[in-house]
Amino acid sequence: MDRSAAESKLVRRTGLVAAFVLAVAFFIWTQAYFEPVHVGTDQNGYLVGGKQFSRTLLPRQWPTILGTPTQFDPHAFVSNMWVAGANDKAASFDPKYPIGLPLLYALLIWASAGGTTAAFYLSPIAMALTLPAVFIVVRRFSGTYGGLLGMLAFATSPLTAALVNNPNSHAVNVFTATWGMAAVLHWWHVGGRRWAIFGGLLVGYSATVRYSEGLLVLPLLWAALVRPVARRTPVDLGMIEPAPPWPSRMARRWFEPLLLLAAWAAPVIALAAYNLLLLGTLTGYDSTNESTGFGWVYFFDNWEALLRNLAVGGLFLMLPLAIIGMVRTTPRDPRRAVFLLLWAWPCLGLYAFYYWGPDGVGMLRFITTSLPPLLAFAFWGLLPAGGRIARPVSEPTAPEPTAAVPDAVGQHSRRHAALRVAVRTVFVLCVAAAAGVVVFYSVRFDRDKQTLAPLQTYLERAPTAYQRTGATVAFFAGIVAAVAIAGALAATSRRSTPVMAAGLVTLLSVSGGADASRFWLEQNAYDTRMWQATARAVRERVPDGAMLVCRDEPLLNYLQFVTDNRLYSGQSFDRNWVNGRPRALSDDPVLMDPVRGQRLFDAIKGDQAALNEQARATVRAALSTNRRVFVLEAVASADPLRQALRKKEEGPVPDFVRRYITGSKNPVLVGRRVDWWTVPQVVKDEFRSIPRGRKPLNRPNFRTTCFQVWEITAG
Amino acid sequence: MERVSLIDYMPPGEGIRPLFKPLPAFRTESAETRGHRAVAAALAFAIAVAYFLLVLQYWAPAHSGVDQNGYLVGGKQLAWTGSTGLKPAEPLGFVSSMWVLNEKTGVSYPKYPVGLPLLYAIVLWTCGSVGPKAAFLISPVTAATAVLGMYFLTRRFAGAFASLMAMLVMAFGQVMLVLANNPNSHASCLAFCVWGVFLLIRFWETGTLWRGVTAGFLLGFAATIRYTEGLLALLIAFTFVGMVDWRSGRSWLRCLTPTLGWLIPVAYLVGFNLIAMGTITGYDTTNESVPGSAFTLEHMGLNWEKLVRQVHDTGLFFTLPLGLLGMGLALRSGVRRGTLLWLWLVPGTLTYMAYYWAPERGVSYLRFFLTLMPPIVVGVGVLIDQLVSAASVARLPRVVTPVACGLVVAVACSMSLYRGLFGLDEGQETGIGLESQFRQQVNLAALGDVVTQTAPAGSVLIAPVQQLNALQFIGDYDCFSTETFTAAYATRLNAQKTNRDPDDPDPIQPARRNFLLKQIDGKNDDQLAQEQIGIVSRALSAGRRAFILCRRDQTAAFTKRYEAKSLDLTWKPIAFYNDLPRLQPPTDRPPSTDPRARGGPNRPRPGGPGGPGRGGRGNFAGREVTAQAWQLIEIKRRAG
Repeated sequence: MDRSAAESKLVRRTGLVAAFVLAVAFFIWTQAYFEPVHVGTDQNGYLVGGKQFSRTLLPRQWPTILGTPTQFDPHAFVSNMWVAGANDKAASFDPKYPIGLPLLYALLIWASAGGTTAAFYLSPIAMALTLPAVFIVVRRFSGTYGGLLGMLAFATSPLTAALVNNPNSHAVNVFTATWGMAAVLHWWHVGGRRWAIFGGLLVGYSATVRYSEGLLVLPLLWAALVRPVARRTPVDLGMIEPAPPWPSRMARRWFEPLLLLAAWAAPVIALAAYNLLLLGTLTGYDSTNESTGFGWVYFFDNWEALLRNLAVGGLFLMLPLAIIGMVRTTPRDPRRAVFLLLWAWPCLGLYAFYYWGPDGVGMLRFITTSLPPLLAFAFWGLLPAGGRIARPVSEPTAPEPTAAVPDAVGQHSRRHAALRVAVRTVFVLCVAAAAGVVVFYSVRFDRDKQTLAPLQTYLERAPTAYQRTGATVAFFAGIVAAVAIAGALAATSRRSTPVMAAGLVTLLSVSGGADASRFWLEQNAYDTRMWQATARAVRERVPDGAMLVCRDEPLLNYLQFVTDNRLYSGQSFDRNWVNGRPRALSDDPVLMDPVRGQRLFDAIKGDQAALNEQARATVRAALSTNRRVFVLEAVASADPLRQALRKKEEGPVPDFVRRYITGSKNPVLVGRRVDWWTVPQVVKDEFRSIPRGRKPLNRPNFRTTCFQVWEITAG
Repeated sequence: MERVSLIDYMPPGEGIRPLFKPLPAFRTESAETRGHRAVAAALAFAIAVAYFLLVLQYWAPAHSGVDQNGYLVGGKQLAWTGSTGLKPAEPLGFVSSMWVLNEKTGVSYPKYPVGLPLLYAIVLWTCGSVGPKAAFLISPVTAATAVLGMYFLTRRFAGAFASLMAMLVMAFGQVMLVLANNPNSHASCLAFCVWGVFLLIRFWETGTLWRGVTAGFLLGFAATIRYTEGLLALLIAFTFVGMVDWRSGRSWLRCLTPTLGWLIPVAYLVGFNLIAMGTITGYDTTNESVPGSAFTLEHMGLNWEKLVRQVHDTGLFFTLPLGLLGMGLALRSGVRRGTLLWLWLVPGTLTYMAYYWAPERGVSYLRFFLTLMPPIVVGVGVLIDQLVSAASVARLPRVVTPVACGLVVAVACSMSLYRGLFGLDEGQETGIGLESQFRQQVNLAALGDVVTQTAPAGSVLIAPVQQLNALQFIGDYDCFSTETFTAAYATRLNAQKTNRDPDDPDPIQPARRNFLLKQIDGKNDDQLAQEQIGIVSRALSAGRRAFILCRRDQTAAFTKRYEAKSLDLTWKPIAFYNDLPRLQPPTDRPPSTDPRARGGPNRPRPGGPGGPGRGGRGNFAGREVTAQAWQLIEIKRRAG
C-alpha cells in the first residue's frame, strides 16, 4: 500500500513544495563551489563527444594532418577514454561511453548557440532535481516525513557532493534513473499509459548514460509482472472498474506493462544499434575488455572497501538502517520490497566484482543510483508509517475506544494526528536548519567568489576555524532541537518514539554528511578555480584556432572542449613514450584501448630523427594553413625564469622548442617567449602522514606553478 | 519475580510502604521458559569462553607500550612496596614517559589511577613466580568477562536471542578485539563498568543490599582504573533519585548503598593520590585534567565529526545507527531504564569529545570510548528484540527476521574481525592488528625470557626504551635507557620544552622533563657516555653485573664506549635472540599531490587497481620481510 496515500492532500502538497524548496537551496549551496570547468579525462569523453555530436551528429574525432583532409594525424591530442572506431580503423576515435550524455551536451550546445558553458550546468541541475525525485520515491514507502528525511540524507551524502559539480555521467544518470523509478512507482499505484511510457523511457535513457544501468530493467520487469496481480488485492479492487470480459481484460492487464517495457527498450535498442553501427561492438568498453572485467578475484579485493565506503561515504549511518528496513519490510510487503531490492542490489553486486575499484568516491560513484532505494528501505523500515515496531508484550496497551463515544475519540485522534504532523514537520525543519547552518557557513566562506582576482586571494581564504564552528553550532543546535522536539513528540504520543529516533539518527547522518560534503565541494572548488585561472590565461594568449602544444594533458582535456585549437601533447614525438603505450590486446581489462597504441605505433614507427622531422612538419603544416603555433609549458617554479630575465637572458626553453625546433641542425623555425605567469598550486593533503591526520583536508599550497607560452614562427 | 520477597515493610502503624520504588519490568520473562533461559545463559558462557580462547591465540606475556609500562610497573611497585612510586637509585635511572614526578619527594608515580596497578599487584602477590606472566592474563580474562556481562546486561533490556547478538557485536568490535590482549586499562575497566551497571539495574529492580554495594563498588573501582568512569556516578545518582522514597529514612539508607560501595574505592584513590602526588589525579601536573585547557568546547567542535565517523567505521561498524535507534526505542519501552543508557553514553562521550588528545587513528582514539560502547550495543539488542517481537505474529517474518538480524550482526562481526586481524584502518594495514601485535609481543616476551635467564636480578640493564618498558616489569633490574645518554635526547626534550605553552596539556610532565634536563642538558655525547660508564663502574664495584641489550647492527654504537684503553672495562655478547620474521605491509604509494589525477578524488589502496600491487591480504608480494637480531652484552672488568 502506498503510505503517502494515507496522508492528507495538504500534507502531501506541503511536502512536495518543501522538497523543491530544499532542492533549490541545495542548488544554491553547491553553486557556491561551482566553476564551468573540468579537466578530467572521463569528462573529456563526454563533453568533447557532445561537442562533436553537435557539429557532425557523431561523437567522433577524425584527427587529420593540417592541410590534408584525409591523412591521419597520429600526434593530435585525443584523450585517454576514446577508443578506436572498429569500422574506421584508419583515422577516427569515439568515446567509449554510451551516447546518452554526449547527446544531452550536444542539445545544450545547440541551445546556447555553440556556447560550451551551459553544458557544465547540466550536472548541478540534474543532481538538484534528483532530490525531489528521491523525496517522491521515499515518500511512497514511508510518508512525507520519511521522504523529507530521506531526501536530506541523499542531499548531504558526501557522494552527492563529490558528483554534483562534476560533468561526468553520474548526476544525469541518477536523475534519469530516480525520476524514472518515481514514475514507474506512480504507474504501479495509479496506472496510466503516460506514466508507463515516461518511466520506461527515463529508466531506459539512464542505460544510455551508463551501460550498467541496463540492470534497472529488472525492477521494471518485476513491476510489469507483479502489478497486474497487485490490482487484484482487496485494497486495489475498490479502485478499479469492474472487470471486463476475458480478451479485453487480458489486453487491459498486460497492455500497460508491455508499454512500460517497450518504452524502456526504445532508447536501449537505439543505443545498441548505434554502437554496432559505429563501433562494431555492443558497447564502447568491449575493445578494452572492461565490459567483461568482472570476477571473484576482484570481489575479494573490493568487498571491504565497497562496504566501508558505502557505509561511511555513501550513506553515512543510513546503510545499516536500510538493511534493517529490508529485514522488516520484505516479509511484510514482498512485492514492493522486491522492486526496491532489484533496483538497489544488482548494480551494487555488479560493481563489487568489477576490476576498477579504487578506494573512495572513485569506486562509490558507480553505485549512485542504488542510494535512493536504500534510503527508501531505511525509512520504510524505520517509521511507523512503514509498520510500527511492536511494543513489548508486557506493556499495557491502551484500551480500545468504545463505540459509545465515537465523536470524542474521533476529535481526540484528529487533534493528536494534526499535532503529530505539526511536530514532525517542525522536526524536519530543524534537521534541515541544522544542515542549513552548515550550508550557510560554507556559502559565507565562498560568498565573494566573484571577486577572486587574483586567484591567490581566494586560495588564501582557506578553511578556517569559523567553518568548523559553524558545523559545530549546526550540530549542537540540531541536537538541542531534536531533544526538544523529542520531548514534544513524547508528549504527543508514545508511538512517536521511532519518529524521534529516526530523526536523531538522520540528524547525525545529515550533520556528518554535510561536514564531509563540504570537503568534496571545497576540493572541487579549489581544483576548478585553479584550472579556470590557468585556462583563462591560456585563452587570453593563444587565439582560437591556433595550434597549441602542451604536455599538460588535463589542461588539454578542458581546452579541447572550450576552444577550437589544434591540440598536441607533444609526447608522441618521443620514441620512448610511443614504445611505452599499451599495444597488445590481452584478456585483462585495461583503461586505454590497446588498438590506439598499436595505431600510433604503426603510424609513426621510425627512429627519433624521423619523429623530430614529423614534429617540424606538423608545425610547418599549421603555419602553412595560417595558424599560429604556440607551446605552453608548466614548470614547478618561476625562480629560474625570473633570475634569467633579471640577467636579460633567455631562461628555460620548453622541451618541445628545444628538442624539435631550435635543436634542429638547419633551423627554419624560430621560437620566442610570448608571456609567462604563475598560478597558485592547490595540494590536497588528504593522505598526509598516515596514520595521523587522515581526515581529508584541503590545504592550498602557495607554491606556484609557472606557465610560459612560446610562439613558433617561420625563421 | 524476586521483588515480592525482597520488599520490606515499615513498622506497624505507619502503614505498608515499600522501602523503594522498583524499576518497572522492561519485559516479562514469562515469554521465555526457564529452560530457554538456561540454554541461552549456557550459550553466553560458551561464547565468552570461546572468545577468551580466541583472544588467547594472540596472547603473549609482554608489551612494549609506554602506557602499559605505567600500569604494569606501577603494579609491581605496589606489590613490592605498597605504593606505585618509583625512585631509581641513579638520577638517570629509567622512568617511562607516563610517570609524573612528585618534586617534593623525588618519587615518580604513574599518572594513571591506582586501580589497575592494584589488580596487577594482586596477581603478583597471589601467583608467585608466574606472576609477571599471569598479570598479562588480566586483560583477556576481563575482556571475556565483559563480553559475558554484556549478555546479562542486555538481558535487562531484551530477550535471549537479542542479548546473544549484542554480546557478539561487543566481542567482535575491532576496538574490543585489539584491546582484549593489551595490558592497558580498557579491557578491565570495561568489565567493571558492564558488571557494575548490570548489578545497579538489578539493585533497582530488587533492592537487594549486596547488589547495591557490589554495583557501587564495581563502578567506583572502574573510576580507579580510568578517572573518567567517575561519570558513572551519574547512574548511581539517577538510580537513587528514581528509587528512593523521600519520606522514609530507611529508604534513604537502602538506596544509598551503591553510593557507599562507590565511595570505598574512590576514597582510596583520592586519598592515595593526595598522599603520594599531592594532587587529586595524576594528570593534574600535566594539565591533562584541566577544564578549559585539556577539555574545551573548541576541541568538541574539532572532534565531533571525527568521533561519529570513527565510531561508525571502526568502533561499531554497521551497528552504531542501529544502537542509537535501539536506545531511542528503549526509552519508549521504559523511560527510566532507557535513561540509564543515555546517561551512560552522553556525558562520557561529550567529555572525550572535548578532550585535547584526539588522534585521527581509529583504535588509538576510540579506545577511550570502549566503555561507552555497551549502551549502544544494548541498543542494538533492544532493536533486534523489538524487530523479532514484531515479526513473531506471522509465520514467514517469524523465521526470516531473526535470520536477517543474525546476518546483519554477522556482517558487522566479520568485518570487524577481518579488520582486527590485519589492523585495517580505512583500508590501510597498520601495526595494531592482532597478528602483527602478536608477533611483536611474542618476540618481546621471548627476548625477556632470554634476558631474565641470563642476567641475574639486581643487575644494571641498559636497553632501548621500547624493550625497557617491558623488561622493567618482567625482570628486576636497575634499568637505563640507551637514548638517555645521547645529546639528541636532550635536544629533543629542550625542543618539547620550548615549543609548548606551560598551560597547555602535555602528555609528558614538565617537571619530569625539567628534572631530566637538569641531569643531561649541556652535555655532549662523550660526556653522557662517561655518565653511562660511571653508572656501570659503580655497579660493578658494588658486585652487581651490568648488561647492554641492543640490536646486533647497532652493537658498535654502544660497545665502543667501553673499548678505550684507559678503562678497565671489557664487553662480551653472552646471549642472542632473533626476532620472528616480520612482514611489513607494503609501503603505501606516496600521496599524489597532483590535483589533476585521474578519476577525481581517489585513493589508491594496497591490492586494488591504482594501488601498489594486487592480491589482497595474505599475499605477501611487495612486503618487506624484516627480522631483528638482538644480543645481550655483558660489561665486565678487564681480567688482571
